[in-house]
Amino acid sequence: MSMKISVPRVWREIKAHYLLEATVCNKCGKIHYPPRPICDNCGNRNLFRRKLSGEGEVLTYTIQYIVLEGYREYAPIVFAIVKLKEGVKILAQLTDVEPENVKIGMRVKAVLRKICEDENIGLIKYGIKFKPV
Amino acid sequence: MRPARDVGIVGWGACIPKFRIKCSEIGKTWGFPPEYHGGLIVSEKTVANIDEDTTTMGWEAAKNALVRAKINPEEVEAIYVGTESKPYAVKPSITVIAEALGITPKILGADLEFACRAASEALEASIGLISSGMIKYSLVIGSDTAQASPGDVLEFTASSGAAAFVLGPRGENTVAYFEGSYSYITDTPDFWRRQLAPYPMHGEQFTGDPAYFAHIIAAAKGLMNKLGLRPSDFDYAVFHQPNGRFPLKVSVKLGFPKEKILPGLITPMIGNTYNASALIGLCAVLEEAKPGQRILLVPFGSGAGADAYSVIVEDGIEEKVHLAPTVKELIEDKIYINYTYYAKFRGLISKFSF
Amino acid sequence: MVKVYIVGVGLTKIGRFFDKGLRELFAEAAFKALDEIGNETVQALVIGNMTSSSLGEQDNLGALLADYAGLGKIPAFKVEAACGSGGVAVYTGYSLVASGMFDIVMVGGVEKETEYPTRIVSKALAQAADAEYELFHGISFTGLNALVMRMYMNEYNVSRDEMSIWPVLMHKNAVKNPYAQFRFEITKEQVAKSMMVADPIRLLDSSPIGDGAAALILASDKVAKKLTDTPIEVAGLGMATDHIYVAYRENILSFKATILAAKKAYETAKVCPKNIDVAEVHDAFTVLGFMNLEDLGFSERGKTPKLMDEGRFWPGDKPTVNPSGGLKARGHPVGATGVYQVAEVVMQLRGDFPGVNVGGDIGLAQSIGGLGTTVTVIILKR
Repeated sequence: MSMKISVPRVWREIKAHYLLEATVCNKCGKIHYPPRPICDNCGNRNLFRRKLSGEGEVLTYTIQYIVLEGYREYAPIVFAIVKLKEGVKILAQLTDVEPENVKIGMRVKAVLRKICEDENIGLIKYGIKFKPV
Repeated sequence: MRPARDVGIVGWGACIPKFRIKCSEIGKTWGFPPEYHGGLIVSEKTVANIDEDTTTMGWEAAKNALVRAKINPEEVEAIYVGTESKPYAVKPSITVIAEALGITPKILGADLEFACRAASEALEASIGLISSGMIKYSLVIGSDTAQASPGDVLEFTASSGAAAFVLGPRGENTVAYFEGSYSYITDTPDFWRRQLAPYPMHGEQFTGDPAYFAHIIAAAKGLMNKLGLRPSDFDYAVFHQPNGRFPLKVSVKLGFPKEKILPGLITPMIGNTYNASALIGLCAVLEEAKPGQRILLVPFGSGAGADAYSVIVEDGIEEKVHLAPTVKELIEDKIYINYTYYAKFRGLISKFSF
Repeated sequence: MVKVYIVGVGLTKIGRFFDKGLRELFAEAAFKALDEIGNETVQALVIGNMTSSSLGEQDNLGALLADYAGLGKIPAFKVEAACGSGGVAVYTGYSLVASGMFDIVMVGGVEKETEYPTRIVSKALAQAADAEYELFHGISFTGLNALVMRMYMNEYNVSRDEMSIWPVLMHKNAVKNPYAQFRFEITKEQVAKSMMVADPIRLLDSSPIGDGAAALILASDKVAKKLTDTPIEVAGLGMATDHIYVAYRENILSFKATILAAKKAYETAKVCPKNIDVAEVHDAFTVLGFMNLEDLGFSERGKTPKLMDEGRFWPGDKPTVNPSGGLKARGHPVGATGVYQVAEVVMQLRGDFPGVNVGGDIGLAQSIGGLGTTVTVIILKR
């Protein structure tokens, strides 16, 4: 019996993972996801947090058959880089779609889903995935 | 029961998972005769995806309800999920849902359990909280990934889905309001799941007369008596629907014609979604009802209890129907899977450390 | 700054060595390198390694290896930059000598991957990505590269078979390399039919999991000539990093870190891409091979597969690319790979590489950690 998913690590990133919370530069307006404390465009450290829309389109994708420890039941897993309407690019899984139907340019929206479980005793890790609109 | 101040529905939403298994596939797997499940009047049922559970479906239904409610989500002051398939035995599902909706931390919230009736209890509690003026808006969710032992007759019907309602004081933004309610509970052990048991046990025929029928009829009659209404005063009736047959039978016993039942009878197409069963039925009815029409809603939970509600539809409902996916659209959006995928999605295959 | 030369190299064959651990592999390479300088005493040790902690439960690797290989009680440390650890180790070792602090430094690279089944090794390798925002979602390193490969093929309209020239050439080059993990030829048809790992990446697009170690002896100009008749000069080097979260980058089809590191390396060596005779580049996956040649200034964007199909970059061309067989066929013992590359280029310039040897005066080695996240480019001169 071991704890394979760190609870504090998952917990402290909840806003970014459940709500796609980004940081926005209050000087130049650049949106940063994952959230960061300094704008890499203008060097400003005064950033505020904002939830992203979760609506966007598939820029590129892969269907992963050979999966990491703990992910066999989810295979094949479709991963994509999704370009949100705010212009921000996000890496996440696609769900509720048959792999052969995934296309570049496909419109998708964010949904809360289970990412993985720490066997049958540990933490259940939730996060955002995207599904076809 | 009648609240001091009228409380209504501001928004509603459903989540119906995309995957379906045909009952014939389940019957064939376990060697039942093809006619065996015919009497249940359920042809196929939903199967939650491998990454869906009560929490994620509840979130999705709630999200749809909030879209229709057109309120700032942060105005929601209480949130409840009624379920009998909590992902964690101990640890609330509602905290995940509330956090992912962005409505924490100044809010009431809990997971409620009363078999398939827990979400209805949350409706009653929310009506009280809002009516008393303690809170303005409440979000009530019924969500289940219903368990059934492989090979049990329950497996033909036990499915997955969620429904959610934003309730608030009757006013400009409500699209229906609760005219009154009537609750009826007794200790009737027709269906249960013991601590640490993976699947429920049920009394088969015993789930009918002394449980489902006795409680629904008592609650419905009690409500009509109290409000001075007759079946002919209602335009629709939605009952808890563990299968397709029970609600049709109970409507005959109460004197409702079939056409008032069918719009809210969803189980034949998606199976029994437990805490969402009657509530998805209500969503479907709200999506076709006209202002001024009256709906009888009677959720039931084993163990046993039923609540009857009279719901009156108000102006402005039509404008909200297409703000989020309708029940009809969700039912039609489907992918069929075989028993192997079903078994994997439902966690019926034991893996050993992979 | 002191001029730095490479005066000795040592390599092990790459493969699945269930009977050897980190220490045995390293000692084998270290002894070969030491033999080349008459077993002169080295003053410091820098080790490139990625997974000793995650797969070997071994930290404090510098001390362990210095002790085991009998190097004495010298300063020793491990540098880690995922699959680019080897290149960064050379960069670090160079700095120690160039600064004047030491005259003779050993740079080693060692990796022991075959301790667990693939799903567990893959998890360790995936730690090259952003743990909180990429690995969080369960994506493997192959998966991340597959996102780039699909984009490359889509953007430049390159077919599956056109991409396959890379692994075909790499396997051809590796046949004669005694250190290579794969010493057999493959065809485009075999690539197209090999197992799909993460669509569109197939097994034969991927570098293999393997164990191995490499060692170099770096020396100051003061002592280099005393240690060997054929010192090879580290003429230029550059290193740069980029956003670890790949989706954050504006352009995903080019590695900014390669461009920056190469610019610095070319400048310090006072050469340009057309002067390079031989190059060892970091082709962990087919698509990376092509992108690297484009980022290093050897080829035009999106045209590399076609050019290679027409014979460009084959042995004898300038530059000859990956005469060793590259990560694809020589193998990719992750943290050791960057050290292998430098050792191979040294041997090419010395004229004693035991595989495809194209000679030349100027060579280049490019090593990448993560998906273009940490890049070193090192230029050597005869």
